Amino acid sequence: MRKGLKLPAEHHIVRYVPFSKLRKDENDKIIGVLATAFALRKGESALSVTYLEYFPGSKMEQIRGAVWAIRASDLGAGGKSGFATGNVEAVYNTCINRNHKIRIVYEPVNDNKAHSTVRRLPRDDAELLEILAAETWAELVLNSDINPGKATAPDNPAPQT
Amino acid sequence: MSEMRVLDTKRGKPLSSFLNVPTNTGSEETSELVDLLTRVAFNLSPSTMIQQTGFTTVGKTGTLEEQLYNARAACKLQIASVAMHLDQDWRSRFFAQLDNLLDFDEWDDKDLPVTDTSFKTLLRLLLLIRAKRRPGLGATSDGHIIAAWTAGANRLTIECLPEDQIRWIVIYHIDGERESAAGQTSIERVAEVLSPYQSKQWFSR
Repeated sequence: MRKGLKLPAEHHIVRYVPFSKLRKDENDKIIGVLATAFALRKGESALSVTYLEYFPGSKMEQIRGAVWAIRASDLGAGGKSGFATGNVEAVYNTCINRNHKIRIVYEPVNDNKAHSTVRRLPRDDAELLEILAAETWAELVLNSDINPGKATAPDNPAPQT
Repeated sequence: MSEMRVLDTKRGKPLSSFLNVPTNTGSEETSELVDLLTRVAFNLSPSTMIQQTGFTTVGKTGTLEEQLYNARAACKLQIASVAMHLDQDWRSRFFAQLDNLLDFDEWDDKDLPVTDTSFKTLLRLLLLIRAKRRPGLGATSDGHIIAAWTAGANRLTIECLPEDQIRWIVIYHIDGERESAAGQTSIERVAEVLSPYQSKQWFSR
């Protein structure tokens, strides 16, 4: 897969979410994702994600592959962190509905060959990020739910059927 | 780790020794809090305490681990200064939430620790709205603490800025339709701006 290509609409992206950006109840039970998990930091031009279908197998095997790759990357992953999965087309559409035309492209980096980015995400639309966190990009898997282990992403993506 | 215990600078003893309160509970946190509460009992201002104890505006000095430690302590100091307004169980559970939020092992090292100015706004907000339910806590990358209340699919999220300013976002479902709204205001106007969304659903038990 060539760097800079748009990810297919039916595919998915995974965002690492540290504990501080997970939504909790008053007893610290994790119940979702906060909008700030999708906010660009100062100086960032794009949001880092991992391309789920880069990894082979069933969806759960792909999630495990993505989580292991993130654990093995420079990012690491806290024991109480989580991973939010969203469908590429749904994320696009949610942004379009609020008049933002984003791009989700494959951009491998040395420590994560499945790395991709969400570009042109607005900095000033808090409602958009909240809707993403509440509905569109809200499928959450906790780090503690994934088998121990880590493995760098393979050099090439899984063949697509 | 820098020395955080509050000392009488002339005698080099913990100030708690002057109040006849136990510090040998085996809990480092308890000892720390006893010292902090002692400061409150001596009626020293937070700024004086911060100056004298080495607490700094976080995000500026020390390693990340030290900054997070300082942030936790600074937040607890502020809570201690208004302890009389907070139920003890509420307060101790809130402390536990802060400990979890500002845990070095979980913190993304690209994020700034929570600032004392942001936490001050949160504390003043909580005292103002007198919420029975504590919020879930979170933080932005630039050091603002987040208070989140969730009632089913209805979500209220408040980002605390310095100087009593907040950014609020609501996701609210009515008759199967989702409404969303967001804005920035001062804590004094929170009740008014949230009134169309039945804010009791988030704050009441």
